[in-house]
Parts: sequence; C-alpha cells; structure tokens
Amino acid sequence: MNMDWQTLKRAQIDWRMVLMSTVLVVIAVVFNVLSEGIFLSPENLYNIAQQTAVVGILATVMVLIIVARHIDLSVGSVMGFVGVLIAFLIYTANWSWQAACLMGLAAAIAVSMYQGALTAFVGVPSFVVTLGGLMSFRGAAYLVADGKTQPLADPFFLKLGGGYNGGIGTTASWILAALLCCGLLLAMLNKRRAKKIYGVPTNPAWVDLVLVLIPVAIVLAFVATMNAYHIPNKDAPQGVPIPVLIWGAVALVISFLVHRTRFGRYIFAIGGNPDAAALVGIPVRRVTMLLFLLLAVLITIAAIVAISRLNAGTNSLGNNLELLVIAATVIGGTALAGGSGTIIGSVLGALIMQCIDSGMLLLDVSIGTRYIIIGQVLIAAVVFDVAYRKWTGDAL
Amino acid sequence: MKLKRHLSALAIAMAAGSSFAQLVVGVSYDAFQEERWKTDEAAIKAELAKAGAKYIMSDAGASTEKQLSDIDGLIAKGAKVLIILGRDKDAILPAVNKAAQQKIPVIAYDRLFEAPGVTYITFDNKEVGRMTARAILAVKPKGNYAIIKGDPGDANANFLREGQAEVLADAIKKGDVKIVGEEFTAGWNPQNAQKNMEQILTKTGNKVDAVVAQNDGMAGGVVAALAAKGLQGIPVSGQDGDLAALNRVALGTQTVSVWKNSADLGTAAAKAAVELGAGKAVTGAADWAGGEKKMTLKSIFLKPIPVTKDNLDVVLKSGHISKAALCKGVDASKVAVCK
Repeated sequence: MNMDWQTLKRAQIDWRMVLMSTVLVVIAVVFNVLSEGIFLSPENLYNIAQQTAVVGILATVMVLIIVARHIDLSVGSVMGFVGVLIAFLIYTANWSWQAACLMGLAAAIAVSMYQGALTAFVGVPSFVVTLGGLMSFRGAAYLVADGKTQPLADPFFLKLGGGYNGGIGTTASWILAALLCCGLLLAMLNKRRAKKIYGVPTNPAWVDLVLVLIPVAIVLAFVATMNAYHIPNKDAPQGVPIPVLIWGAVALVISFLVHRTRFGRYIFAIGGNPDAAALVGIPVRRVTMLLFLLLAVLITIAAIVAISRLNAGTNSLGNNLELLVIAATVIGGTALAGGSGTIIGSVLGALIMQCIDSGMLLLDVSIGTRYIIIGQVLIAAVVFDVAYRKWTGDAL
Repeated sequence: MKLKRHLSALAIAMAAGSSFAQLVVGVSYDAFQEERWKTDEAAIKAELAKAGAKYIMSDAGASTEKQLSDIDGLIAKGAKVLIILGRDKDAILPAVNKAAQQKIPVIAYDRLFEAPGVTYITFDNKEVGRMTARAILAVKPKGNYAIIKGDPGDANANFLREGQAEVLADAIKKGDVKIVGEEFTAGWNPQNAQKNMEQILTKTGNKVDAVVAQNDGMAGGVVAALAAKGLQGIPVSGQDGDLAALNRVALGTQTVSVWKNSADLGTAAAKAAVELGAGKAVTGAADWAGGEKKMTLKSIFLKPIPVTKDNLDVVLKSGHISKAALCKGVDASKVAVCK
C-alpha cells in the first residue's frame, strides 16, 4: 500500500484537476437525482455544452491574462461591441459574413492594442484600463447600431453557434473522437520515450495507462452523449455541436502555446516574478502586447459564436460576462496573484458554473437563490485553492 | 447712456410681455442619449408649436444631482409648466416641491414620482401585460405555457406579470392553460432568456405550446432557443416594437409585439402642458392612487398597440419602421403589408 502511495505521489498527477472533476461529477449526479434523471439526459448535456462555450472560450485566454498578473474587465463589453459590429455589417450594411467577421477582428485588435499599449507601455494598471473599457465599449456596442437589434439569418453562419443544424453529425464526431484518442495515446508514448532517453524514471506502465484511459473515456463518453441527442423532427442525431468544437480547438491551441512555445513560458515567467523576468531579458512589453493580441482574436471568436447562437447581435450582448469568465477562471484554480493556472482548469471551472446554473434552472430555483449559490461556490473554490496551496507548499 | 438704459428696460419689458403671451414649457430629460427620447422630443415640440408655446429642455446626463439644478435652471429661464422624466422617484422631489411653491404645474413623464399636484402620464404597463397574454391566448387557447419575465429588480416586470395573470386566470382555472415554466431574466438580457427557455424545454421534454415573453429582446432569445430545437409555429409574445421583433412578426416567428408609440406619449404630455399652462384641468386625466405612497394623482394612461401580423400597417404608416426592415426575408405573397 505504501509503495503504491509513493508511486502515485511521483506520478505527477494534478490532484487539483482530479478533485475538480470529482466535484463536477458529484454536482451532476446530485442534480440528476433531484431532477429525476433529466440533468444527465443527452439533451440537457448538449444544452450545457453549448451554453458554456462562449464563457469557456474567453476563460481559456483569461487564464493567461491573470497568470501574467493582469485582468480584463472589459471582455464582455468588447465582445458585445464586436458582436454587434459584425451583426450590423451583415444585416444593415449587407456585407458577407466573412468580410464582417474580418472587420470585427480588426476592431477587436484595435481595441486590444489600445488597452494593451496603455498597460504595457504607459504602465496604467490593466484593472483601470479595462474598467474604463468595460463602460466605454458597452457604450460603443450601443452606438454601433443605435441600440437596435441586428438579426442574423445566414444558414451557414448560424451553424457556428450550434442550434438546429449546428452539430457535425455522428460520423464526423466519431472520427474526431478517434483522432483525439490516438493523439492522447501518442502524446503519452512520446513522454515515456523522452523520459527514458533523458534517464528520468518513468511511471509504472499501469499508471500511465490509467492516465491515458481516463481522458480517452471522457472523450468517448462525451461524443457518445452528443451522438445520442436526437432532435425529434430530424433524421439524424446532432453529434458534437460546432461551438463546443470551436471551444475545444481554442483550448488545445492555447494549451499548446502554454506548454510548447517561448511565448507561453514567458507569460508564466512574467507572472511568477515580473522583475526577474525583465532582468533575465524577457521582452515583457512585447509579450504583453502579444497577449492582448491573442485576447482580441479570442474575443472575436467568442463574439461570432455568441451572436450566431442568439441569431442576433444586441447591445446587451455579453453584459456581465466578464464576471462569469473571471469566476470560471478562478474556480478553475488560476491564482489571482498571477503565476499559476491551467487551461483545462478553466474548462472545468466554466463547466462547474454552468452545470450549477442550468441544474438549478431545471429545479425551478428562484433567480435570487441561484445568484447566492453561484457566488458562494466561487468563494468555496478560492478557499479550497488557498488550502490546497498551503498543503502542497505552492506559493499563494 | 440714458437712452441705452431706457432701451434695455424696454427690451426687458417686451421680453416679459412676450412671455405673458407665449407659454414656456420646460422639459427635463434624465438621460437624453437614449435613442427613444428623440422620438418623444419631436412629438412634444410639434404639439407645443401647434399651440404656440415655447419649448426649452435640459439633459441631466444620467445624473440625479444635475437634474435638480437643471430644473432650477428651467424655472429661471421662465418655464411655466414642467415636464419631468425623473431619474429617481425620490431624489427628484425637492425640485418638484420647489416648482409647486412657485405654482408651476409638473407632469411626471413616463416614470412615476409622487408629489401633490403632479400629473402622471405614462403607458399602462399592466395593460401591456394583458395584451401580451391576450394575443397568445387568442391563438393558443389551450396548452402548456412558459412565461419569461424581465429583471426581478424592475417593478415593470411585476406589473406586466400581474396583467398577464389577470388574462390567463380563467383559462388556468378551467385547466385549459398550464404554466409549465416561469423564470425571471437577469438584466432583461436576450442571452439569459435563451438559456432559461432551453432549460424549460429540457425540463418539460419540449412540451411547451406557447411562450409569454415580457419584451422583444427576450422574445428574440426565446425564438432562437425554439429554432435550435426545431420547434416551429409556437406563439411567442413581446413588447417594445423593436424593429427586429416587428420583422419576426412579419416572418411569423413572433406572434405579437406590444408597441408603445412614444410619439403618442409626447403629444399627450404636450397637450396636457398647454392645458395646465392655461390654468385648465387636463382632459382625460383621472384620479389614480396605485403608486407606492398611495398618493392620489391626476393620471393619463395611454393604451399601447398590440402589433400582430394583421395590423403591421400601423407601424409602417407611423414611420416607426421602413418597409425594407419590416419585410426583410419575408415571403411577400403571404404578408399583406410586404406586397
């Protein structure tokens, strides 16, 4: 027994993720019992996956922003502004959706460069810059279309937000699942080989096998569930919804940036100790600007998914979204003091929040109670985070 | 010098004389940047011009404090009647009392504040609620209803709900109508309304036959949620006469949008101001004591217009919406006004 404990301790398992996943499972099971089996129905899980996508996409990049010791309070407003702009160009100005999205991206980059430059070069705290942005760009979202709702009808564009035709179908979903599983397996084999080459002791084979099989099982279960959701008046089941696919792709790309690129490592170095980072020659300002550029790209993607999902751009788009995004990031274990955080954590954090919200909606819990509970969940997550860091000896 | 002084005295006398002849009506807006007040202003101006009265205005830029000094300013500029769009129903009272001391009649425009002698002119929000429910009940007299309410912090959400409850009461008692889901929507946000609708559909296994939504923005979210489940032809209500919602009414994805023509509100307020300025009672005003303080005020409640597929010409004729916006994507052979 003692031997096993030692092996597990050495196995570099992220216990925080294990615990969070357990929490998520417990929440799901409790809601499922209370809602008499509705919560874990394919239809509800499909709902939740879609409802979480926009927050999830933004949370992935918010992790990096917070890790680098910044904050962005303006994500919701900027997303609203970009979303209304795209919808306005499509609906009122009759642009093609592709051109409108590019224009939206250009606007998002302009906004981000402005806020980024104030932060990186002028040295205004990002909290203040983006607090101003929170108000200004909400106003801009109003001015773009004079507060008028801009409906969208392009059938292809509407797929990006999910909806009736927004799933990729069963075959494509299974192919995707197979590719992902192969990828996970290969990654683990690579890791083992690399460890052997450098003479680092490897985990026992069974530990690594379990570590691969768990995510593989999750991927397969997810795809099976999405493939089981069949809208009654359609010929075929939905499969993985496109917004979730986009979210997954974003999470993968950002994870890659974090683990495999200089840019990613620089962000963590800056967050860990900005002065030391500058002293060892990390171009702090340039990295900060790049980070804001990445933020602009993701805000545009989130805006496209959001307006497509709502079938319209409205001036209230993304209202209070910054709070949900930051909460998801924090629940996902990103330290507000900077320096540590994970992308997968933000995915779990966003899911935990949306599960609680949607679950309580199913149970007809009143809006006031819902807010109280979600607020307390946020605090509980941070309390857990503090306790966990003390226990593991990580920096607070 | 002497001549100059005489001349200026004459000028002052003439100015004073003209203010006797011409009624000056002061309008205090709390936040003029909101688009809709431009419609109100145009109507007030037109009506006052017709009566030969002068229009002066001030904009508090969303500041409660500034609105108090604005009102002082309007009085100083010679306003004999005040139309006030109050920022805060309590904080506005010192200014209202000051006006009362100088015997200047005050009209509470669109939003209620309670002080003796105030005339309250607004749309009847309970009636809006009744109209939304009535229009849905007319097309779906039996079935499962979902109710999407506005923000829980906004008193209007409750007024609307009361009106809806009145209309639906009989059908619910008879068992014809069953309310299977009812949710408040934080910030009247369409995205939240969409989520609420998705969860209601999931909870009931898509067994929803009609949706009473309290405004057009949320109706948009509801329609998106229904479309995503492939549910078609389910009646949905809304209010505000949003251009996008009127387009949905023409398309057939929304049943009704209750429209409050703010030009009517402006005209009514200007007419009342002219009458009050002449020392007459306001025609059509009745005693009402339904406010928080139960104070009896002279009030005019304007009837909104429920816009459905059958009377879309109303919004078109009033110039509220262009034909292009109303009929975008609409099969012109099916909708009369789009031909």
